[in-house]
Amino acid sequence: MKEASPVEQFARHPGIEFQPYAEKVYGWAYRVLGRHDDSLDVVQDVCIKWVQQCAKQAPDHPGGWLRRVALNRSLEMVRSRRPGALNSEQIGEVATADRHGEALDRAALRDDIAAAMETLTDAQRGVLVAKVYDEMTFAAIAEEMGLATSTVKTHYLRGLRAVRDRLKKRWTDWESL
Amino acid sequence: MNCNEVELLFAEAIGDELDASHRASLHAHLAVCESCRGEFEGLSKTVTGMKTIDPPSRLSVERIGDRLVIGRSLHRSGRRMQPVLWAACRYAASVLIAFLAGYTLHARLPQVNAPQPLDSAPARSPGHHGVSFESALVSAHMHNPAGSGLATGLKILADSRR
Repeated sequence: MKEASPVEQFARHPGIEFQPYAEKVYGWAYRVLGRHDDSLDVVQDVCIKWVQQCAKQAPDHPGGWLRRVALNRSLEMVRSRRPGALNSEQIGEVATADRHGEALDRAALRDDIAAAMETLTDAQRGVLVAKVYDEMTFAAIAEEMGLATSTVKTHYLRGLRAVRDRLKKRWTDWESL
Repeated sequence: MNCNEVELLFAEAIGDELDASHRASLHAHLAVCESCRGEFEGLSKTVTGMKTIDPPSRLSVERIGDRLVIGRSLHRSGRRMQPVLWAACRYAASVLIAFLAGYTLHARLPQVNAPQPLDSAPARSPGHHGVSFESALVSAHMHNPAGSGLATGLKILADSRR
């Protein structure tokens, strides 16, 4: 039997709302990708996966599920566009930057963070993003991910160290951002 | 507090969840331990660096939502539709140019000794020796509505000039 389209699945489960999470998903994607249109593509892709997942079984912790899927999709896009030059959006950033080169530094920083995130496990990546960007407590992250708080802290430090090792060379640049 | 004990506090300290008493102990150790201080500062800087990557603040949930719906129909399919739209525009432009060219040609050619091209052509107005462009189009349409069009009309007009 042919699988129902996302729209059909959505129609069957109208009670499951993606909208409240849309901005969060966008934020996670943007921090990895740094491009508005690509981030919106991730939002759309995640929305479709969300609907498909909800048609089978709604995730117990929507935030954690969406974060993991959004980060994985974003990293897939990062991989697919390497090696890449700055796109028009980023060139626009360069043109409007207060200091020439600031946007280039920021784009390089973002690329390094994405590269470091690729080396992490799903759990480490999820914890790192939840803590740094979503500013969740370790206890809340532990509950959301179904892990012990001590494990969450371990994931956090490992993830942070991986990013630090990647970014070390840019520390002087950060201070000027 | 030794280095191992201090390291256990790093996550909470950097994550801003460390209580005051432990924080004091941590900073007391960091003041005298260069290795731990370097590690702590490095991790803190990493968080600072990560936080410099902010999404545009001008976006709202509603706007993202709008784009979510509109984006699927315009943004993505738009990429695929673009060549088709361009082809349609080119076709429309070529038809318009052909129409204008035909009309101009018709207006400038001498209207003498023009043969009657079609049995079904409408009657000519008094003093008009050729088949008017408009009447040729109407004739073509009446003759074959499905296949009528400007190109057909121009063909009939051209035939009428032979």
